[in-house]
Amino acid sequence: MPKALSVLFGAGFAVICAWALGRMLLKRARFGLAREEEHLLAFVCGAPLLSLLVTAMCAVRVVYDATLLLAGVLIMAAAWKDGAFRRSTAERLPALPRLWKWLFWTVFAVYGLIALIVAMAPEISPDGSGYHLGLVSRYYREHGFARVDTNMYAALSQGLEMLFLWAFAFGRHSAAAMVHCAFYLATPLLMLRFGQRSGVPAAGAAAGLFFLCAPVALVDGASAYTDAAVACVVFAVVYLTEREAPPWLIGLMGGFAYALKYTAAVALVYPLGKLLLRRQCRGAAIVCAVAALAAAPWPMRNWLYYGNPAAPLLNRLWPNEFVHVSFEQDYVELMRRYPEVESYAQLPLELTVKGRLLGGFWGPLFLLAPAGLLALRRPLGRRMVLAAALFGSTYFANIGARFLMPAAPFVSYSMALGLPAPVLPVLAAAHAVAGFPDMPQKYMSEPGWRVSKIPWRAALRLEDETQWLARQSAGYQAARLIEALTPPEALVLTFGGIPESYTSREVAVGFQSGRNERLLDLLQVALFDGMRPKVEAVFRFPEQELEAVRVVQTNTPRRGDEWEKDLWSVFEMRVFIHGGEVERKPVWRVWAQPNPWGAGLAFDGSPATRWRSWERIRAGMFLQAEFGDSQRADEVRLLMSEDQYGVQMRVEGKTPGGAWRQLTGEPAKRRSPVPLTLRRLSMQEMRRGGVTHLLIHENDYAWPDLSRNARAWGIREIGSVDAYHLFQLE
Amino acid sequence: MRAVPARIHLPRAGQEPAVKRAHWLVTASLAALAACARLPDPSPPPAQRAQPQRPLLHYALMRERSADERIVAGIDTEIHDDWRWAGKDAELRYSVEESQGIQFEVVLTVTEEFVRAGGSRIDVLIDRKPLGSIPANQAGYQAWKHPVPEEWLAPGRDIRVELKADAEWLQGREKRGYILIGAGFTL
Repeated sequence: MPKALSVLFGAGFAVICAWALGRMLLKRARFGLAREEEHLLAFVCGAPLLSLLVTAMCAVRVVYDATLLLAGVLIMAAAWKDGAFRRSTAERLPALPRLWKWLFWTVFAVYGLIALIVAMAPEISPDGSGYHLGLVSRYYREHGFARVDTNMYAALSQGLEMLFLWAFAFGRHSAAAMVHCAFYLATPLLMLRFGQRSGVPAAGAAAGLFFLCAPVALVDGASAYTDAAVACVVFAVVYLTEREAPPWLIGLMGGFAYALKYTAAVALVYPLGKLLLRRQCRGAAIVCAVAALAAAPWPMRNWLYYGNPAAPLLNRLWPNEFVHVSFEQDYVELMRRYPEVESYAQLPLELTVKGRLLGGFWGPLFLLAPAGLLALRRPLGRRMVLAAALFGSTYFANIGARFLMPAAPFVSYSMALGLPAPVLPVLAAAHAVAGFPDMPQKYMSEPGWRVSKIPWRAALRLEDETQWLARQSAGYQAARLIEALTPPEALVLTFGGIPESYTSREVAVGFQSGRNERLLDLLQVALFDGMRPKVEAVFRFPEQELEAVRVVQTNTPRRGDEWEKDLWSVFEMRVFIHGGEVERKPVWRVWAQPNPWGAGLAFDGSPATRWRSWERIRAGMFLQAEFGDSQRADEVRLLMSEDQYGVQMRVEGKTPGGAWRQLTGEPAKRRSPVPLTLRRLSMQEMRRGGVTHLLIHENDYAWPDLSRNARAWGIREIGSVDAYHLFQLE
Repeated sequence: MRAVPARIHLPRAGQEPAVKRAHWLVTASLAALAACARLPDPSPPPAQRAQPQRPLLHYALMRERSADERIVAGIDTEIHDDWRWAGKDAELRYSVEESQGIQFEVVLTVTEEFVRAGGSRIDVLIDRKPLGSIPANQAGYQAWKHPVPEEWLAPGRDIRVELKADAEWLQGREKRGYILIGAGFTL
């Protein structure tokens, strides 16, 4: 089948199956829907069912082209039997005013076509071609879920990725992006229908166009992301709540919101608030129960695979080695304050007319967002402002422009209800023109992420896909290089993300999981002077019989303290008596808190490996060795690095039959020579950790040393493309 | 809207029975879930990796007696805490396991007396080839490092390093240069 047709089939098959399931579902929901609402809500409400079906197939690992096709045929047959394909006899919604009818459908047709063309073009979005479809591609290859300990994004809820998987099986990347595009296009339609249903058709149409024509919504909605789907589903939750749909249906959609994105779980607050205010506790309980069922696969999978149902978050509550607490601490801070964003006062302009710092922009129209407060004069306006505040409440967890997507439909509605009706068509038309590709270039100096061209030749595959990708996607060539030069079981460690969905090899991006961070740490230990094993901390205490000994970290830096972010680490912990080392025996038991998984690294004799707290220092952390029986000792030595200035320590010992007590306080510190073979030792440990290759970009900090001293590292360059170099570990 | 009777007791915000129950439920659920955290048991030390060779052949720590084997000439045998006196012409011998990406390091303290005696630098030569000069015209501690050309080093071969100071001074009848803490090859 020509590629363009397979893309259309893959996307269409997913959308039609979701629609068919939704038709059967809504028939059983038994609440009055107009003709214009039926098919739209059928797709949106059927999506969670299809997603759950694919989730179940992934869990039992039966994802094959044939099983998906069979499941789809069965769904269609069941829908046929259920009368889903019969002509609707439902009543119609109040008609749109003539002006709005022309304006809305003209703009919707133009933007819809652009979005579909962009989505149908080979996928080049960073996250879409990276982890969203990288993971989908892996599930497809492995016929279901796999424990992916090299990518923390694998632990996010993946409700939409399940739909991507359905489409990907038949149409690959572009089909998945088109499924997301379907949600993007469904959102303004839902907004329009909601307006017609609520007696404000013009405001509904205007709000729909405000959302549709926003540059960040267009580019995100046409990529294999999840934000537009989240916007669509949370709007559907509000829609169904206002339409007083059965609680189980609202719960299903609320649970699906969580399955799309953790933060979208706030969608449940809206129906629960409404039901509880009306004292409909039974309804609220049903909403919660069904939502929990719909959302349950994701925490369950995370608990089984990663030991943390909320992975990759809440790692202090559920400690695990999949995501380090220190990473979570840094990541959460970074997401709240992007580089170059000095103050939140920058946000209004960045979000509307700049966009360089926040990965996209909403367009100048949204400078009028405060006018949405005028909508508070009307009951519907108050509900829309409330919903905007509710869905905007999670924005400051990540201040990227696209993270306003769930709130955007409600902000748009508030504006449309608050602004004078006569100006709405003018604003909508101006917004549509201002957001058209590539108008922003004409009035902005450095527009952010957006659709800048309409790649219709690439979409129809009239242009060679690989050549187009090579031109448009920065790391595509590197992904193909990996595919060509490494064996199927290769594990490639990189410093930055590449479009990993274009290779079948496992790619471990340095920061993307605990395992990757530990692997990267091996390299950094040999690379950076401050991280090398060159400090020896010596604790001397009166000779005595001990059953166990432990080193305790005693400092908790205050917030804002210079060393607040320090991690504690120990390359080697050795016990001495009369200057001679006490031999480590198999009866010893070593442990640490936090990160007990890594305790052995401080007792393996290697100056390349270290136990790290992987959590910012706080008093009470410890590293310990139990001897199995009593052992005479008078000294403990730690081999450490300099990169932990805030660390303060004491040694405690456990006397036979006794309790832990302090033996000595702060140690004497002295220099320790660095092994000249440290680079090679680090690569040997990396090899033990499963890494077979390194992909280094010439802008990576490790490039100068790795390229100059490849032999000392024990690596060999086997290929390069653009500025990427692929090294094999020897 | 119905008016609330004046005497009715209203709970404070967040103290309503339903909210309090919800707080308990959430707290208890989190505590129960947290109790399910899967931590490994203490384990035996892992298989021991090959240790770097001892005594070190590529570095001389002056606090250690084993440094005597690295010293050829011009450095005191007496150890003061973690340092020794180095004279005008100190010489050491090393062997390295790796030759690529290597630097030579000297950790020293220049004394006031050395500077007063006209001292301003210490030249470092590896197998008689000049590597660089340590600026020594100011008293104080310093850790000097300089990359060594790969072709100067051959793994396993004896390497002679000379530290040639441009001044010396007398402490009693002893000729002194500077305080040497450590010297050798590093990364």
